[in-house]
Amino acid sequence: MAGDPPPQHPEETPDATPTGADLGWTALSYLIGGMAVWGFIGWLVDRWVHSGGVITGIGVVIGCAGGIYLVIKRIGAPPPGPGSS
Amino acid sequence: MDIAAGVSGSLAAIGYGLAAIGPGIGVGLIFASYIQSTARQPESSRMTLPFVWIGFAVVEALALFGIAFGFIWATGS
Amino acid sequence: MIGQAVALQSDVPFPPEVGDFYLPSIVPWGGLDSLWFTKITALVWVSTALILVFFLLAYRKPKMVPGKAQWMAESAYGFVRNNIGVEMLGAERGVRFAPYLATLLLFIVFNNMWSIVPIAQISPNSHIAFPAFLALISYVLFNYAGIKKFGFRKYMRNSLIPPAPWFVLPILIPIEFFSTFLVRPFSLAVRLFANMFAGHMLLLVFTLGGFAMLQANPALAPFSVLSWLMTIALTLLELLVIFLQAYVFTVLTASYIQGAVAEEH
Repeated sequence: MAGDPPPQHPEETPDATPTGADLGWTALSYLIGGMAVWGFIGWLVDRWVHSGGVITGIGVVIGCAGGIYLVIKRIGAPPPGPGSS
Repeated sequence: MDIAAGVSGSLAAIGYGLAAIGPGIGVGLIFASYIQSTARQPESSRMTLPFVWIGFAVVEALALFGIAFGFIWATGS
Repeated sequence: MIGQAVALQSDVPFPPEVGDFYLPSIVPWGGLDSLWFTKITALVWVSTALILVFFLLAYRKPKMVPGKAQWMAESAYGFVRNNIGVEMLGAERGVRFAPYLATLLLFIVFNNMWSIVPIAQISPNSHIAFPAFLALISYVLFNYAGIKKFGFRKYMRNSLIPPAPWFVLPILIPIEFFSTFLVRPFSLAVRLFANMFAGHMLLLVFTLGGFAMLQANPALAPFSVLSWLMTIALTLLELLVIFLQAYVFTVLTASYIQGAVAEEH
């Protein structure tokens, strides 16, 4: 049993379409990464300015918007050109 | 005036639970529509896949807001 | 029989804790406080030995019409080479990276498999060190592949600067940096670690819970049996998770390599 090779997964037979699961992880990491990075920067500014949480929230929102923008730019499809059905 | 009924414990947790209902349904709708459209016309699956991730990102953003603001706005127990 | 089982139990260590993952040293020398050789180390050595010996023996006298061992070895390697390497990286690069990807997949599968094999029953990947190091190797590899192809500055420009107007770039570049260079290795390691840790913990909870219920009150025996049936179901689920996590780790490594060497424009 320990010497068996891993069996072929049912979704990876040679004519299966790729699942795009790696794109999903990338999208999620852009979102969470954006919110984490700008939330952290916002929190640092917050502690400097002593505004009690507002700037952290603004940072999180900016980061989230940046993350969504990155997802659209990197993973989104270009708009279909003229002449496509 | 006495408070007749109150909620004790973590309000942030309740808030997040309520906030997660919408994105949960949203993500389900996105993937359901992708699966249905692929079932109707399998050749379109490659073309529509990018829109799945855009939609997922936008919907999931709100769920992630829920987590983040749950911590930022947490007051009381 | 139930009374015997109850009488034989010393205190059942329930609920299982993180401390249960720290195994004692199993060498007779060096005392019990030097922990360099535990069951985990022995299991990693045995997995490595099994992979080496299996492939060496399978390829002793390769024939055109393969025998059983050669066919198994070729299936395993061919699966990684065709479905992961060539599909994601193209024909030439896929074949070049296939040995590393195949080794990665098989090493993770063999190590994960110990979590459901009797006597062993813990996977070395449930200690963060092993997934962390595998993720580190993959991280160095995909960065090295990108840098070797493009040169350092161009590689950094390709990976950090998204196609966006210049005035939003300051917002996007920290996000890209965080996502590409920090989140990727971390998530590779933690995904594998958390799956193996949680799987082992679940099996512990249901097995030890059965014994704990039996010890607390022999009338709870039917629930103990239910708990043990749940353990059997979870073992089958763990079998699925073992292969899936190894596959996901390898596919993500291949995808990162592909992203690093992709021509952007």
